[in-house]
Amino acid sequence: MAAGAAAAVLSSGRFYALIGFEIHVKLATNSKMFSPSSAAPAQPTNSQVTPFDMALPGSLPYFNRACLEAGIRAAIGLNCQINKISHFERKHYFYPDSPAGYQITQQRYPFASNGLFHYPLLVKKDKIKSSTKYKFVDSPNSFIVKQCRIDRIQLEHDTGRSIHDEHQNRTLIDLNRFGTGLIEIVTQPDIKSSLEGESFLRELNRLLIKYNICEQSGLETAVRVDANVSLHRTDTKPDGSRVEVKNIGSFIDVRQAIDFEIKRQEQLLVNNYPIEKETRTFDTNKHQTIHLRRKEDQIDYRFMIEPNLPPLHLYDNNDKQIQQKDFVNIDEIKKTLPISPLEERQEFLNKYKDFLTAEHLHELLRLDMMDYFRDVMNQLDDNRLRHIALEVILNDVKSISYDGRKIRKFAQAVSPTLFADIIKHVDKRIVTRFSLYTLLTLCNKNRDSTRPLKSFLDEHNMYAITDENELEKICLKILEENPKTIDRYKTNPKKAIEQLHSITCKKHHGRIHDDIVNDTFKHYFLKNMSTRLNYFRMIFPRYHSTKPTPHQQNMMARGLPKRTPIDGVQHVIAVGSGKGGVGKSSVSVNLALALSRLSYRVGILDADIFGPSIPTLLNLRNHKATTLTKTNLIEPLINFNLKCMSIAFLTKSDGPVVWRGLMVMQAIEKLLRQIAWSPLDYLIVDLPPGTGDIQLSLAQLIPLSGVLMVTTPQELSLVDVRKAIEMFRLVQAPILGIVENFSTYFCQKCGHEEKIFGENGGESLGKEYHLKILQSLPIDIYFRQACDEGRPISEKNDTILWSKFNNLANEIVKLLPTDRTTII
Amino acid sequence: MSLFLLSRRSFSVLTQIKIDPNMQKKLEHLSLISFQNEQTIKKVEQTIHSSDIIHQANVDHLEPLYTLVQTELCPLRQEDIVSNEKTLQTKQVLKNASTTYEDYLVAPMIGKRDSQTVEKVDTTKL
Repeated sequence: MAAGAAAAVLSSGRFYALIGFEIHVKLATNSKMFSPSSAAPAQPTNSQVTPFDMALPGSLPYFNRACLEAGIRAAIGLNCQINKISHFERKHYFYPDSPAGYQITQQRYPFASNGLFHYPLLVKKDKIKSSTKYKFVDSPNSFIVKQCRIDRIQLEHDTGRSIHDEHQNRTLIDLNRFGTGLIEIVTQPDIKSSLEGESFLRELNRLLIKYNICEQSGLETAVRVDANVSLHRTDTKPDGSRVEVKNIGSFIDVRQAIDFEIKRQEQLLVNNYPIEKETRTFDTNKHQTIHLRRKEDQIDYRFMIEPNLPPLHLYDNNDKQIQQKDFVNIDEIKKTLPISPLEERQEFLNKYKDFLTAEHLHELLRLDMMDYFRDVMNQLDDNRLRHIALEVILNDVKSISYDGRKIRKFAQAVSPTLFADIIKHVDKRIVTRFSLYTLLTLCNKNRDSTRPLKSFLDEHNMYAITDENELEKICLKILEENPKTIDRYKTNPKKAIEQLHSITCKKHHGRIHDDIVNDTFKHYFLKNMSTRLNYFRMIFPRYHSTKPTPHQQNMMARGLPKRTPIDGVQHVIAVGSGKGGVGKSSVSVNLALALSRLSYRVGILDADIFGPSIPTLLNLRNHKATTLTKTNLIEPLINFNLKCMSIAFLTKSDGPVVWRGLMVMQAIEKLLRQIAWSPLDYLIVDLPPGTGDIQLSLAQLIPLSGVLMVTTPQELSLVDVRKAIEMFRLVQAPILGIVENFSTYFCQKCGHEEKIFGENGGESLGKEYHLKILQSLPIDIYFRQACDEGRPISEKNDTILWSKFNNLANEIVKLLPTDRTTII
Repeated sequence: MSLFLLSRRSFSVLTQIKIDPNMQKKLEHLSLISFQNEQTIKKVEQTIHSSDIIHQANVDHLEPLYTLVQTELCPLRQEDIVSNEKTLQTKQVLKNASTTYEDYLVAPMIGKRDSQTVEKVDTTKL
């Protein structure tokens, strides 16, 4: 592809390209430049012709003021120096579409010269990755801006239209177009590549349309471009030779023509041929330039000043002596100009800096949706709504109308008011985000932008369903029709909910909001599933062939340690968390105490080999377990009516325990099997943080009745807790619920509540994994003091925390009821 | 205001210009008239020689005039409106053309823009 080849030529560093443009812009005036016939296109043949247009003897030119003003607007927009006195000239050559034999132009005495135009560099999206040489956005709030010098702008008129009829060997002439006003913009060869060329022309086009200089119809009809391309070896000066390429009709053609020329000239230079000065034409179909004529055949135009038009004088506010009636004042015109596209974009970046970046603008420019964007922004008041609108434009609208023409049609069909209306409806949840895309497509197809939004919604029934009863009915129906998802729920709740979600969306055409769907199903499951979790598991046989049957599992587990319950212990509850320091030990100790207050027999095992905290919490520091029972089981220490055991009671010193995996596993087994726990209703195991050896050993050695997860609301903690939850799910240990510690803090002096560790962390975790929050515990200074001193707070009956622990204990009892007929 | 100064070749009144083949081609191109024979060329050369007398005038310090009304400024047509009275009707446009085709004016087939053909003309009046 020529583009890649040309880019390679330029980036090799051996050559540089100089490109200049001569751009003819058709001015948007009603009448022609020197005669009062219509300048409108596509009129019946030869119906807009005056005697001057036909060069009939005695006809004289009369200069149209509107053309001059359009020209001055262009000159101001391109930052040109305006020559207050300029002259019209005749450029002589014979051609049938020019009855006079000359064209009136301003070749040597233009009215504007020495300008400078800034333009942003724009890249096609698919080229962004490959164009590593070009950065198109400098920083989040600016584009890479290049500049091109303007040599001159001159006023001139167009010629008639000639149709070559080869069969009859004749040319047909239509003079309607003869005399319509043009400006020719000639640039210096500052453009260095086809990318710069295209960016320059697009920005110029925007300026011309914004300043009402030409009609908005793209490069094809209003603007004609001739490119002068020359390639030179690096370190050589340009020798003035260049190739002129005519007949370039669109932005894409410009890029292709320049790329082709660069490649062609590189071939010549590499083989040491000189570049001939010539004129070539661009063939759109073959994407190449073709030789037309050599520059030596250049015609002598015999320029001479037009005697029928006196010198053109322009004025500004500095001129004191004005000799003309109804003169043109440059400063007056300056005042009426809107801001340039460059300034407008800067304004947008400032005004909407909360959500708008230069990258967004780049994308909007590329899609040609800047004006639409501006109009939509004006329709909405709230920055939040504007942000939503921007996202919708850049995503949904882009996929509906992905090229220039379609975008324009979309902008006509879905007026900014209608669009803004849609956004407001989505925001107010009258329409779901899901059906936004469908709605936009419908409005686009309909093409009647005056039709109110309500009629669309009524016709296609796109209102969101919000009635709770109806939602419940829908959910139940879907569950009925899809029993497999219920089964799926117990093994993979997330996937099950997703499946149900997609089924609902399809069935009801996206009329229910995402979050409502998920919530409704989750509520249903939580209500009906969590207490009967194990029951369901036993009743429903497995459907997936990938999961082994119980018999298979038994066979596979032959080598692994078997799960045997501890004698005399009814329920084993593990208290774990992914993260350390969230208060597991405090929670387990106080839960144990609360349970014992409810007259249950409770034991507590400190499974944290490396950091036992139980001795401190229960005031059993420096105590050792030394007594043995008759059956050679170690007697656990008893305090506050709890049976406690920790590795600290078995090791000699208070120093660190530096053991490897195998020893750790053996230690845990010892703590479970060789301690005289029996008889107990509940054994609470205080796990160490993380998901390591100890948790795994515990899960594999004994059947856990339940796991309690302790967490703080902080996201940092939640990340680790999630991992722990998944691990417990993996080893099929049922999770009873979540205890949220450090959830809030009440200032002692003023009573102000501060949620230091964040809000709703535990709740969101619970929602995610369909677990209940069993309790939320605040930070309490007395609690901490009590823990450090080994004095449980349950002693003081009037603290809030004690009642919370009481409630927690009750919940646990509800979830894991004991059979009180254990034989002692 | 700087007008482009015409470059002038300083001549002695006596020397005569010869029209060489290149110059001949160029003149034919520009005027669309062909030189038929040697005599015509000689006539052109003589005419040029006799008009050379104009070089005797010393105009070094003068700017050329392009219009007789020096003080006029370019008048502007103030209203940008279409005038139907001044616009010719199509039949008027086509009235003097010998050949027309479906409201188009007809010209002989010409190559691409900016190339010119040379027509042969029977007599040249100079």
